[in-house]
Amino acid sequence: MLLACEGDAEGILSAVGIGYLAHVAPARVRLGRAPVAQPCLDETALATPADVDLARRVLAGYERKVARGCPRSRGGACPGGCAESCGTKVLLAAACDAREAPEAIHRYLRVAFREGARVRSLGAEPDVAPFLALARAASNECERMRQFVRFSRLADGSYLSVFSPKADVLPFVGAHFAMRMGRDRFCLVDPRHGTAVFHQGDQTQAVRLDAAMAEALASEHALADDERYVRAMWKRFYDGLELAGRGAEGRGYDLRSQLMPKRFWGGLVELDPRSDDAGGPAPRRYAGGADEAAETKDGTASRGDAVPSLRSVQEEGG
Amino acid sequence: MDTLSKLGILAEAAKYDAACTSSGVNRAPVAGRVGMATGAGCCHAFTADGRCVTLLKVLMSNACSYDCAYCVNRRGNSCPRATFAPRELAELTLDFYRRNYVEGLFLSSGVIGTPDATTERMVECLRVLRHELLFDGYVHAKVIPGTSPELVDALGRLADRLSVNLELPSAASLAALCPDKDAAGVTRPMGQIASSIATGATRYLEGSRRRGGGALRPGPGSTLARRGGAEGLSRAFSPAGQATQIIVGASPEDDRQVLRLSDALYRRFELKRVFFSAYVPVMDDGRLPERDTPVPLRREHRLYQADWLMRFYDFAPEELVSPEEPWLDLDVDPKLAWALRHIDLFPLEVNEASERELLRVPGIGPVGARRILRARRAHGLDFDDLKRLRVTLARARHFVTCSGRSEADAPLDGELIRQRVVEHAKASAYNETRRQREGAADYVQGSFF
Repeated sequence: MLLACEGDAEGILSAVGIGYLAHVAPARVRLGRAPVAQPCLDETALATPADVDLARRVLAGYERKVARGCPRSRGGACPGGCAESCGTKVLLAAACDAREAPEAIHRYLRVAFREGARVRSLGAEPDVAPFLALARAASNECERMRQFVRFSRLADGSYLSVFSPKADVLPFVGAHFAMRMGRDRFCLVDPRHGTAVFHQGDQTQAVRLDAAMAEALASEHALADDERYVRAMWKRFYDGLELAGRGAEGRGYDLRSQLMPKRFWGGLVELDPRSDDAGGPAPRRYAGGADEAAETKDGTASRGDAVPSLRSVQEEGG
Repeated sequence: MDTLSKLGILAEAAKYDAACTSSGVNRAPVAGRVGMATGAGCCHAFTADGRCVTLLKVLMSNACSYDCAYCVNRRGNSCPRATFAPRELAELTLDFYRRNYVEGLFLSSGVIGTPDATTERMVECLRVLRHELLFDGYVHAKVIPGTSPELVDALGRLADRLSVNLELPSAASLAALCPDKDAAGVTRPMGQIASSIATGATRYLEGSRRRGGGALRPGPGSTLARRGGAEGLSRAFSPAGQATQIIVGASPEDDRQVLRLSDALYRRFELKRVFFSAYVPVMDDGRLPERDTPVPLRREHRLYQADWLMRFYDFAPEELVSPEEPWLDLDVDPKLAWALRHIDLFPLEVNEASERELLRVPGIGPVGARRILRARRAHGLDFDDLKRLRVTLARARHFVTCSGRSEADAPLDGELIRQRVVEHAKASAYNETRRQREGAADYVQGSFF
């Protein structure tokens, strides 16, 4: 039997719950992502709508079963060395775009309900390893977001970033950016999965977007006056770090592309040639002139007596 | 000169400094302030050669009064000079941080007149950043040898990590190449930093005991972290510890000297990291190797691998290099080289070996060892299980057995293993390119003394 479910966590966990409640033998049930999943010749396909309450029950039951005896439930560390809770791992795996994700999660949850806490020692099992690989892939994608999101300052003073990860992980990283940005208002949009995180003051909210709203948010916006200058500074800084002879040509392979996948390059200010253009004169705070006495006219370094004292620098700076 | 132009000069001037991490401290966000720090750090970009860009790493000024032979900013070199105003650099840091370009600031400087005058300027920059712009992100500050203890202390109260560059692996080389520096001037601030960190830890523990708490370190989000540390304490002194950098290949010291030195530094000053920087010949000077004899990047890479083994795999320097073989093998990594020298200790039974023994197997790291230990609780493991656990079997399969069985095509033959590894490496695009660039001959360490 093929249970065709929605591809998000609610859909997958609901389908797992329906399969369990129907008392169908686990070996006779297979989960597939609707609408792309196709039944095999001898399979019956059944669409399973997402049921948030049922999904919550499945997740809570799983956590209860697996967390039994886990030091984490008493505030300790996971004996498996996992940074996330077991429940978070399921949600991460469900965030993956991979076609096989629903079935991998289904197989894993069946093992987990059968084995309880012992499932933590079963990482090499064929029904467990693919699930762990999915959770790891989504966790890596979260890290990519933390690394490669680039915010732009808009004319209204808020910050905006459009980012398209391979998994629907934006809700997992929203809190990270909220902590970084303090009281700065920002919006982080994932048009690929139709999700966004909005942050203002001390409120952060992840929301699902319809296609029109996602497109509107991801479109061009009026930038702050100094935005292009700041981008130009970042690109100048980045370009200045390059060491001759150590790049892809000197090394024989492109290490940067391995560490910084090309699918993100379009959104990276430092790799966008347009960032070279500062867009006009420097904003006042970056116009310079306050502290250049340490440079001599012939380009050589000056001695200490030519350097202004800290006090005079402070006075000049106002 | 506007900031864009200065940045071009001062980022370029700082690029030869290898150290750039934002790890080692957890700091939760505080209402009304901007930023935080996470223990693992975060790389926001990678340069064309694959180096991580995590901090805004610039010099406060490249108008240096010192005349270190190898340094592009040396007094005698003719190049464009620039100096940041403290507030200018602080605002730049915050602008980059808010756009998620960096985790914070890595502040170093050429010596503007005297170490104290330079450090005063750096302290002012950090004061503006921390107290006026309310920035709580990561800050790494470089201590210039010869700086007064009071200024080192002020810098350490504002920065998360301090570093004093050792520069060269021996006092003789330092004297020869850096006439304005001496070994005592470098180690003195290192000692002060280590002592201040230890004092801070003791005071923290005492404060914790008074409160009746048992936590040694505030985690993110904890009340302690939000209050900024232990009761009665101001900001902790250099909470992410201290680091140093050694330039390799500009002077004749071998890998054994470098590794013994770094081991001693870890022990004596409790350093978090020793960074190695393969000498990049940018200056003509009779005291330096010829400009067309660059140090192979592989030497730097092998030193980092050896350093990693010492820090996380419980290797001693004497196990990796010896008076008879003072250079690390450039063909195979230090762990494999060690295993080939001790082939009588293998094969190891995966289902019985201790964690320490597993960590000695090429291809098995701390994560793999933990996965094996956890998985074998359920049942005995075979090679398919190891594959599913994502253990790097290409290396490990020669050195392990599963329930007494070896893999058929992976005999424990030292010569064969070395041959396979070397051939595999030679076929790699990296080595192909390096060979073309460096000529067919093997690398010969430059001799100039």
